[in-house]
Amino acid sequence: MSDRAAIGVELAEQFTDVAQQRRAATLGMWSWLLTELLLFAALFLIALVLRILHPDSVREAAHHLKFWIGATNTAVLICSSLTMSGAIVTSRLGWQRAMVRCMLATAALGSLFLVFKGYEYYQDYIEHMTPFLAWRPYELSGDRASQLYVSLYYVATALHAFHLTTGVAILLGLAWQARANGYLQRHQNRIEIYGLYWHFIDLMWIMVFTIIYVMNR
Amino acid sequence: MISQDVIHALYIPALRIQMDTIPGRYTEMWFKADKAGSFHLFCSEYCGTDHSEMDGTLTIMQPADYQTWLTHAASSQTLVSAGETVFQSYGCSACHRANSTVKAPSLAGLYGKPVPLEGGGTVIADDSYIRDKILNPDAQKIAGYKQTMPSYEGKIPEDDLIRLVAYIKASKDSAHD
Amino acid sequence: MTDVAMRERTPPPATLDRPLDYLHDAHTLRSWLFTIDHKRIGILYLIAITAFFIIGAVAAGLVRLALVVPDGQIFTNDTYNKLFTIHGVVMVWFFLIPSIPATFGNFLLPLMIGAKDLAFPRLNLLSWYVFMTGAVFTLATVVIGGVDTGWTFYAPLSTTFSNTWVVPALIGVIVVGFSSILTGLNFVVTVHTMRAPGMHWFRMPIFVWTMYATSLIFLLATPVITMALILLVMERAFGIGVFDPALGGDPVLFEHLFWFYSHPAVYIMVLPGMGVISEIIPAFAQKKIFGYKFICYATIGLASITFFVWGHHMFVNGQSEYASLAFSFLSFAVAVPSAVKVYNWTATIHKGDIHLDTPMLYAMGYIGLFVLGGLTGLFLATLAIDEHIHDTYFVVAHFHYIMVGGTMLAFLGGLHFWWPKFTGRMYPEVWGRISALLIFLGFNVTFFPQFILGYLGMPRRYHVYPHEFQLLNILSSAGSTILAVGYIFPMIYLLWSLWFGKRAPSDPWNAKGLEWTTSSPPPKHNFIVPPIVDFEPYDYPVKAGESV
Repeated sequence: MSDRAAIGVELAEQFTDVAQQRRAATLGMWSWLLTELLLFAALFLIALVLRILHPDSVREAAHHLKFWIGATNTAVLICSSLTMSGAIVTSRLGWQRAMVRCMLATAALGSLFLVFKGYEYYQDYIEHMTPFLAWRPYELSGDRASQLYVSLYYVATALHAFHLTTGVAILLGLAWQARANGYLQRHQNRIEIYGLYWHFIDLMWIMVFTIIYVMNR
Repeated sequence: MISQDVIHALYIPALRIQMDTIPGRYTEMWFKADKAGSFHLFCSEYCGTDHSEMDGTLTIMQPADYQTWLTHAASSQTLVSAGETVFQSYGCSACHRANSTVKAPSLAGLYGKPVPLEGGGTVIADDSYIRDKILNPDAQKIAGYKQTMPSYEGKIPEDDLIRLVAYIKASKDSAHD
Repeated sequence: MTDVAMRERTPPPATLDRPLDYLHDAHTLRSWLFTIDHKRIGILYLIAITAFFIIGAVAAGLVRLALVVPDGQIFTNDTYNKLFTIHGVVMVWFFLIPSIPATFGNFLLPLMIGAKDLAFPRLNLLSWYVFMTGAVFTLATVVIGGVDTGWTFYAPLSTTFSNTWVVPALIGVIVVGFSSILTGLNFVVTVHTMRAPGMHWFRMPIFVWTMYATSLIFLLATPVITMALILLVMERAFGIGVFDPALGGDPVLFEHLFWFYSHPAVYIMVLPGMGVISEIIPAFAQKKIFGYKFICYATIGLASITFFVWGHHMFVNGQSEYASLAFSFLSFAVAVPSAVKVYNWTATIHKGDIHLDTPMLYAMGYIGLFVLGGLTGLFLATLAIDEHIHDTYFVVAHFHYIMVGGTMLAFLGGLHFWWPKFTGRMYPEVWGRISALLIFLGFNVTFFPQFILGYLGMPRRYHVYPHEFQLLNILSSAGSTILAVGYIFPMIYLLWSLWFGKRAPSDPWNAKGLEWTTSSPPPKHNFIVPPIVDFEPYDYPVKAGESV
């Protein structure tokens, strides 16, 4: 295999060996993901509280969510996790070009998600499901509690979309760097660590989808 | 107790009790007055600019003194009598009066009684129940009645709502008879 | 290599091939502002939080000044509310929470476990910048514009009714939260992966244990308040209504989310102080710490229980009595690990070779005041008593005994203890002792009367109060002037010592621990020879007939 690059990690000066550096980086990312999980957990808790306080309004509001767009997006993100895993496997094998392609495919799927999400917001706008816009009448204006749930839907999905946008941007940056020769020899670790983050964004979407879209149907 | 704006708390140091008053839900506090006198009362939950001037006096009187005070000093409207006006002005009485053509449950003597619910079970008619029923009548439907009452959420200002609940609480069975 | 040989290694003399210490490695401002050396970042934090402390303390002084007269004639109600908000916001978010972790933690954690640096030095610098951005932003808001919600930002006062600059203040606090998270993450990873050979978990100094526990709280609790505050901002900006009863939301939900962070935050402030005290006491009693493992377990125990007691801030808001009972019981449980620590400290002092130097004076003061603060906490955890003293000056006195009597004394004690290590200079001992005594005296005169005031029924955050409370308020205000003098002294003599203090040897206190084996101040990468740990923690000499 001619395009098979050597893989490795460049040692940063504060570590004594590469194994220690890898352990630290992995644990660091896991800690960050733990924090992120709790960030989302607060929103899930509020979704639960709203459901207990106003069960009818929540059901009514949830019926106006675009279930099929959400479901499609779930599928898109699961595919992107597959391509990201592909990037990790190829990086371990040292197939640098295949890895870059996998990363670009992942970024493309992530962007597709954002396009669908944007379309969904647009549909919400058309259907007057935007209670926070003071100048636009709200579809369920008779039901004030439903407004809470719709707002929560916006906060949760926007927070997720923000994570995904950051994720795509970092991924493109990494792919740009990874074209250079010898990248895998110095920074193979970064692909692995980044993979954790991507899978986490995917997982968070699955939870948002389940809790906001599916559970209240 | 309930608040119409932010969270406050009624604090009576001499009785060693306090309780928050929260907008949107009722809280309770009770004490047994066994000594006459005047005592400080404060708002103990920070509530804004003039928090520290939100104080007052709790006056505990002997029953006889209280009767004298009632006849001589109680010129201002009580919460209950103000609530009666509200009850009329929002048209509650059109349906809920004893001989109304609309088949609505009578509210006299409702407070503190168990109410049978559609689909089984009962609920005690307390402050929160009465309030929720006014704001969101579709929830907790009552057995034996068709639910036709509209929601008053956003239609009755908080202060009127408080008076209304006080009036319904005070409506005794005798009013009905 | 034998035990003794390891510990008594003297640093090599200053020769040309010896790397310069971290202070003299480079001199430009750039070399400080873009440093990734954990020691320099620790010093950057130290400077920043000292500045914030001064602002918070001035606000506190003005609050005490206002309370000298009962009818509130010195400031308007609005000014008073803004002042105590400045005091609360600055002291809690920008002084106490970062105080010990971000300064001593940054400086000492790698030294104590024998590492060259933290695991992610660039992230460490980033978290300083994040901290400064958020803190300066909020500070500008609360000082120039003014915010009158108190540091607790309760809804719906903060979302609907306050007419002050709540949104920018909240954004700054959210940003500072991310700095805490990044610092916590860095510490957790460092403790897990960067320990020197031989430094297994039960050889780590207690200070490292407390830093680890604190970091876990940073990681697990901070995101929850971040989300709650984001929703608060959204609510004010777009009226989404999650906490606003007029829209069907629930203000009590905000209290839950707020205290789910802010109670553990108390332990973010307290645990590091306990760590500092656990280092000072063995050094000045020249004795191995009593019950080392118990203190480690108690530390982790405290960090765990603290996640389950948030409801004790809500005993009088109509929460279910059964919930209150459970929270009350769990709050009592906090006393157990706390008491384990106090007993262990006193047992360490017992029959020790005691030296009453400045750090030890602070440590002794800490134990006394912490016990008082902790025991009054039990009063507050009792449902029936809390009905009476909730939200009164009793609470104010209680948490100042923990925050000032605990954390602040530990901070000052640690500052004096490690000052030689930080700067390579000794502070003037006599002045140190005088100000330690002044602070202890001033603190008690300021805050003890507040226990009585609270019991008599003076609510907190009160500007205008009944005349019968005036005497105790004057006493309290008088005490705060003594306290202020006690704070000003160290600021002067510590600065003085930077230029005129005696040069410090590498181990001026004859203390044990890896940080004392390297020179004062340490070289850029901490150790000239990477340390190998083959000794137990706190291996102070054992006297004949003593059993540990």
